[in-house]
Amino acid sequence: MSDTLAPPVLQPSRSSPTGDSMPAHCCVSVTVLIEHRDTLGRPLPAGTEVELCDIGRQTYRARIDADGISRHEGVTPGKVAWQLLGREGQHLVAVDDVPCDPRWAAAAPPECDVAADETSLRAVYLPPPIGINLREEAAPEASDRLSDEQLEQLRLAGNNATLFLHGYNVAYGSYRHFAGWEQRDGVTDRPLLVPSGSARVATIRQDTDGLTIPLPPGPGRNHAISPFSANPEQVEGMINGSGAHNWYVHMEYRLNRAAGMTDDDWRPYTRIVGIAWPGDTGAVDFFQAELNAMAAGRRLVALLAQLHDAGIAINVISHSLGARVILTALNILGEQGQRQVLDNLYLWQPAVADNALVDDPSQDSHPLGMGVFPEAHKAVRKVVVLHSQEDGILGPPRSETPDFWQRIRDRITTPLQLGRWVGGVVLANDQVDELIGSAGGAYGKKWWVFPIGLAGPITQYYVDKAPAHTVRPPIPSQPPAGPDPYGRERAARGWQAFRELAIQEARDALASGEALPTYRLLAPLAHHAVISEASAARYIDSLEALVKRQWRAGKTPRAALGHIGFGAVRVENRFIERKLGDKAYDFVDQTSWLFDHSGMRIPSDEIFEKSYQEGVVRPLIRDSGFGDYEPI
Amino acid sequence: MLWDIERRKREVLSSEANIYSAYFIEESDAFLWQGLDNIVRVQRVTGEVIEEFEHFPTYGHVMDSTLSNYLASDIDWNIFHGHGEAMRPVMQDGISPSFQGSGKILKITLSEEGRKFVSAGLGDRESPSIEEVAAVAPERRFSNYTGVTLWDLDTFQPIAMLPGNSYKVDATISPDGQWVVSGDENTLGFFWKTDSPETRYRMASYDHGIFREGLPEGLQEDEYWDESHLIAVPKSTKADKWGNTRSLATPTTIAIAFINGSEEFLRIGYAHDDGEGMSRTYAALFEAGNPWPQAYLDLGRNPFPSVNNYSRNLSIDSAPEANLLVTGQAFDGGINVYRYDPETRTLTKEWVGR
Repeated sequence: MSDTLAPPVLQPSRSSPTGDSMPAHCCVSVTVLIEHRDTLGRPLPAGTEVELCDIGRQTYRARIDADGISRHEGVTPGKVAWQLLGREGQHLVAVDDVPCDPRWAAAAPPECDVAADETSLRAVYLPPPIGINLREEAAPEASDRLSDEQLEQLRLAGNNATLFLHGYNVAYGSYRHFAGWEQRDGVTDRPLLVPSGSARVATIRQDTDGLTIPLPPGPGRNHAISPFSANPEQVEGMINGSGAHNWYVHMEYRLNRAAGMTDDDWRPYTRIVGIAWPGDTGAVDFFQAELNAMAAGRRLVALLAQLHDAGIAINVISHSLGARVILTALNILGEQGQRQVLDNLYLWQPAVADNALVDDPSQDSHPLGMGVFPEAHKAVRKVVVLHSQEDGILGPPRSETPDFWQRIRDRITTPLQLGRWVGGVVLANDQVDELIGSAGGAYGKKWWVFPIGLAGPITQYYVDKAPAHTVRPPIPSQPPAGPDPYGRERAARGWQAFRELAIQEARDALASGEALPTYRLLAPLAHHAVISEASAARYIDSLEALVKRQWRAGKTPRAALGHIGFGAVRVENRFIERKLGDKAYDFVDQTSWLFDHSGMRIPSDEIFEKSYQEGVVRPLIRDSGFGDYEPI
Repeated sequence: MLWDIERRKREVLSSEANIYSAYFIEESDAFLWQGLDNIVRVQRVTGEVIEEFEHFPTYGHVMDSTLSNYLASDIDWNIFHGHGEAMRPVMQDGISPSFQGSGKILKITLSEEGRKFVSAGLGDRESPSIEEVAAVAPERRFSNYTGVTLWDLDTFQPIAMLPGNSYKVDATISPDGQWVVSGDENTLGFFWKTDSPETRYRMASYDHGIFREGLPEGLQEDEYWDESHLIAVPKSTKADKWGNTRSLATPTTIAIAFINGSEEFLRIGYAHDDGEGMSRTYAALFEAGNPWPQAYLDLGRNPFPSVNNYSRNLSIDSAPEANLLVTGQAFDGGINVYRYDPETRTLTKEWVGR
């Protein structure tokens, strides 16, 4: 970081009537008036408490009035510094039109000269971060939408909203704290005011360089003998938030930098809308995470509709399985007859099938119909896929790709082998397991290639929902004797009951009159707004057929869109080719620079320039808008 | 390196040359190159140095046969005319897109006959008009002119931006100056007549034909496509990772080069060496003004041509009157020389220079 701790040279906008500065020991006192506004010109909320500290380290609290001004009386002339109390995320970015780095301001607030009788200062702060929590544990309904203040914030900041959806296995997390003055290398003097409380909560990204943060004493660590300092990874965890919040601070910062903001002047900094959803189902249960993604996508519809109705341009960036959240929402909007609700959708390393964006459900390779979002394209003006064949999570590295799939196919030439393969989800040492493990990296989690990983989770999902003898077939009697020795009749009865339950669920949902009813047995179809009784019956038929085929899929599995992009599907599908030709679909092939599924969170210079700057932000600003950054 | 195609010999000119600086001047025995000392040489094949001057490190440069008009691109894809004190900006309206950002060189091609030139970097589906935005606006961050742009070779002012392409785009002007043809990373190909640059023509998709623009949504998919003149795309002999045979000509374009005067050009796809029977090294042959591919011509894979790296897009060039195409090699420092026969419409690898 190139910053220095030296606060900006700040002059009082009004000095004493004589023009002389008063010596500190003089009995004259100052009235300090601070006007507090955010970068959008709004006065900070009336009633917010401001704590001002003078050179005597005396504090003076005052509340912001309706005009955004706090009035601090009896202050000793000389330097003052201040902080807001109870206003998380409103970081100071300028005083009297001189910009300051909010991260330094949070460590050592700028110290301004004040002189008798009265000094006015103008402080500018970032607007607060905006987050929406679509996790199950969050409060229902109300929290799915933005408040009026948040809508106003987006309106003022260019009348656009950039939503970010994190990927698989991301916890909700929280913001952390700004590095303090004592943690910053080369800073020895205690500032006038050391921020506390909400002023320490960091909702923006900090650099891990130039910080020394001691680790608390632990086993084997004796500070008296040898102080241990956190390494950069540990520092990252300490200052830049955790879980979804870590993604927000990084994504928001990089988007702003790519749009042209510099660390010297944060006033153009634009807040994104961070969307949390429950994708943290554990490393193995990708199917449950997909169901969660679709449930979150249903809830996201309300937010998209709210923004659309408010006339705010909507752009969405999703990472990994976040693609399923937004595509679910778009598919529902498309089914409801909504057109072009979104301006641009950037699917970054999307963990959906490469043909997820076709308009024809019959193209779906997923045996339960979870693979394609046939109506999604109607609700968005442009979809840009950012993919990389070197992703490592969504598929094997490019060098191993060509024969990887062939080897998979070779291994599953018989149902028996397939059964073993699927069994490999829970059984170790399976041949295919080994093969997939050897393909490298987290691909060994094997949640992507269907049907690996599907049999177990579906069975698990229905364990307390489906009638007996369905997803878990009856076990034949040994030796086969007595009535129904192979369990065929029990299975038939079970499936019939299951079908009736599913149809009943569809019927009840329709009868409820809700636009987006909640489905339980039919949750795998939750990317559809409403499920007809016929669809419900067909779904159970598909499931029954799948179980009877020992979970063997009827069609070749598809590679991930985030891995191979549109390269294969455009050749076989004219709709995709047309959308690519008609600027509705586009892609950025990041294969030669993105080598990590989540490599954009803390990007290399190359990823920053190629993916963020040229792949996302330039077209985003040209096609729609990001904050108030200049369009053309 | 100076390669003598007739005698099949090579001469090392320098071991410290800017790899993006090799350029032959039209209808001339002179060429340009820049050393790592940043000195640009204008030199004859005989070895005689006509002129040399210091310049910024160039990322693509060209000179006309009068030797008086020199255009060079810098790392940020800005174009300057002249050098030294006389240097002035032609296109300087931002730092992004750039060579570093895109990983490709801004391509500049001249038509001395038509007194025009074309630059091509990163395509924009839509762009403002040249009246709305200035080509020289150094305070800007995001450039408007780095897509396909047609310029006047006398005034060095833009004639028109030619939007439609997407991401990395290659475009070239026909030697007679009548046509601009383009192809991009996202498989789109367009062409324009330079006397009416506002009208854009679409090349046929290799697999699906010509996309009929402007039709309403909701028609049968076939109605959006004219496939009347499609020809068969060569297919792989082996199955790919999906178990399907694949097209061996990819419309994901890395370079476009006229191969037969201003009549015909090759559109060359970006591809990796995927092994015998799998590599997509077939170039599509087009006639100027005709949207349909006429033939698919194999560039072969021994040695694999330099179609695997966008930063080497300038290593693919042609001599349209001589029907010659030259590429670099993907894994070696040599060149592949191909000769096109307009009668039989075939391409023969004539020499592999090592």
